[in-house]
Amino acid sequence: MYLKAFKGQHWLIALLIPIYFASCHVMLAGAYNEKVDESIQKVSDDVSLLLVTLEINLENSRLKENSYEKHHASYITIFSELESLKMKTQSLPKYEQVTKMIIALNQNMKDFESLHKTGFNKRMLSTAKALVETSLVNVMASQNALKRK
Amino acid sequence: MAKLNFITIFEEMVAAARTTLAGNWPAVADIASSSFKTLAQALVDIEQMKNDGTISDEQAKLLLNMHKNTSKIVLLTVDVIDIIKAEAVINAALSAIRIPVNAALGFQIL
Repeated sequence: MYLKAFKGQHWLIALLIPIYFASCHVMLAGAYNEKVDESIQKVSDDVSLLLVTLEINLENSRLKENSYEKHHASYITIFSELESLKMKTQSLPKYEQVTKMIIALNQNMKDFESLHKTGFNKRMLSTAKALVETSLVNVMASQNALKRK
Repeated sequence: MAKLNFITIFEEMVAAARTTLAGNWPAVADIASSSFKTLAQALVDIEQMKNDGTISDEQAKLLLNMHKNTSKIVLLTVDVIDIIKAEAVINAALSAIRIPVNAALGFQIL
């Protein structure tokens, strides 16, 4: 039976055998991971809290409340969450793109922290906030894409 | 005097992405366009603040670094969505040939 099939469609089998042994269902990117998604959401929540707090303090001219020392603990929380998230994504197959995003996001928060130490004015905070939020939106969008719906 | 123009920067970004992604542009158009708007506006703002003297060289450098990393994240997102799209095309092709191939071979290979 095999020989009969082979004689008639040898070209087809030559094409299909690599595909068969590779997989009958191809995955070019990593599978959606709920834990990673939840961790990203947690980072987003904590970053949003920091950004909104700084913004409202500026709007109300409460500049002392925006001193870096008053928010140092928030940065420790955010960086530890990002570090943990990076380790999670590094452990998952085909998650290289997501890991690169997390590393870039971490660097963005480092630069934001450095800016914070220099003191924010309204426009500077607004620009930095927009860049951080865009970073987070894109990281979350990539997670939604991995759901493959 | 401001040199950067928001519309010009934004349209150039969209044009470049549209050319690179071709048929896959619709899948990323929303997220990419929205992100490009932020990136274009950020560049204009940074230039203006630097010209006005409301940010120092150090602050400008930090903001530009953030801009670079945000751009990287946007491009990586576009990449992921593009890859998922390609994956769907391949799997659809495999699904389409499954029945006729299995019938032709007389046993289930796919």
